[in-house]
Amino acid sequence: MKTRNNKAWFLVLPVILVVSFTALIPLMTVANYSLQDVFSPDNRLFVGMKWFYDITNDPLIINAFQRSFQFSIQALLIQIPLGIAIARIMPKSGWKASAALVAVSIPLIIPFNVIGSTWLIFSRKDIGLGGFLLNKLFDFDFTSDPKDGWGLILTVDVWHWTPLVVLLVYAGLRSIPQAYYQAAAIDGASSFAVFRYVELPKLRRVLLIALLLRFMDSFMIYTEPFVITGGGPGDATTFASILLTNIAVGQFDVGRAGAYSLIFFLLIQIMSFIFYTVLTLQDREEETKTK
Amino acid sequence: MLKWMVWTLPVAIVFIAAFLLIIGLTIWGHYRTPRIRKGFLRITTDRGDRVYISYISFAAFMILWIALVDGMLYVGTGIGVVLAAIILKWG
Repeated sequence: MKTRNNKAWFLVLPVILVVSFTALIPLMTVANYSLQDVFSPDNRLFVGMKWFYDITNDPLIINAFQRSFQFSIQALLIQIPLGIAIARIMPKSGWKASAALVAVSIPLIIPFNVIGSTWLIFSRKDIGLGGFLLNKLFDFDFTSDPKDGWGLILTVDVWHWTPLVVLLVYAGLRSIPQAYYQAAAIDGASSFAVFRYVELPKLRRVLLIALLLRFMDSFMIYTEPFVITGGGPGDATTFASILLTNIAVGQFDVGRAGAYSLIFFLLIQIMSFIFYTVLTLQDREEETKTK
Repeated sequence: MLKWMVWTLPVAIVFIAAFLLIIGLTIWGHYRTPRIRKGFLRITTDRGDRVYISYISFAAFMILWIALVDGMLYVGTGIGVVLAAIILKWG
């Protein structure tokens, strides 16, 4: 086996320093909060696992997590196929390709809260064009009907993040050598067969990255529901992160919020690890074989 | 200076232990390169991977125990440690 020079790992030190301030120290503080009832730094009470028992048996919180999962799955089911479809019909070269890429990436460069405000106004039934037109077809009011609120947030997320899937898949498609397509054409393969047996296997890695990014982002969605529905109507769009903020900042219940955050963090860890494992499994097996 | 972090002893012990674990693994890995192998989890892992998986599994198991079983925290911890050890050894 070739010996590796591991000294390059020292170059990671600055990142560790930055991460320790942005993530590690806050995480430690949160872990401390989660075991105490904190009124002030001088006035606090050690309560052990009380908050964890509270959190795991609170239907409000369990529902919020279920809602987040449901939202993520729905977002993925729409965004991934839609992203692939758009990437496949996009022009492949020339000025049209550049124009299409720019047009597609516009939603990605708009600040989150601007997107929220834009859609908020666009969807209002009294002054918004979208809301007004929808009301011609059926009764649409995202401020009072939970289904409309949910649908609107889902639409905004699809509008905002499908471009990311499109860009990833487009890059993946461009990296497939023309020879594959030529071979498929000689064999008289249908368009669907080309997609199924040439493109899809080659896109596997890109799609997994898209899946990972999109799942994480939609699971932690915060800004759009915060700006547009504020978690309502009722609690229809109170996703896990919205509820967490309400507990931590609204009620200033830092102990409960700390326990909540740790469980949230653990869930994210587990899901990231599963995605990562699936993503790298094939490489690892090849690596073990060559050794 | 660290007052705002409202430190408690259990959390301090856990974090110090985690840091020592990482440093220990680094030194161990430097002198004895970990072997990559496949256990009952059916994924190829090296030593650090298995430590991570057992650490996370232990945490997940504890949350489930707290959610589903009322009390008997020491029993749960015991089962969790055994579970982590099994993953560490044969995972």
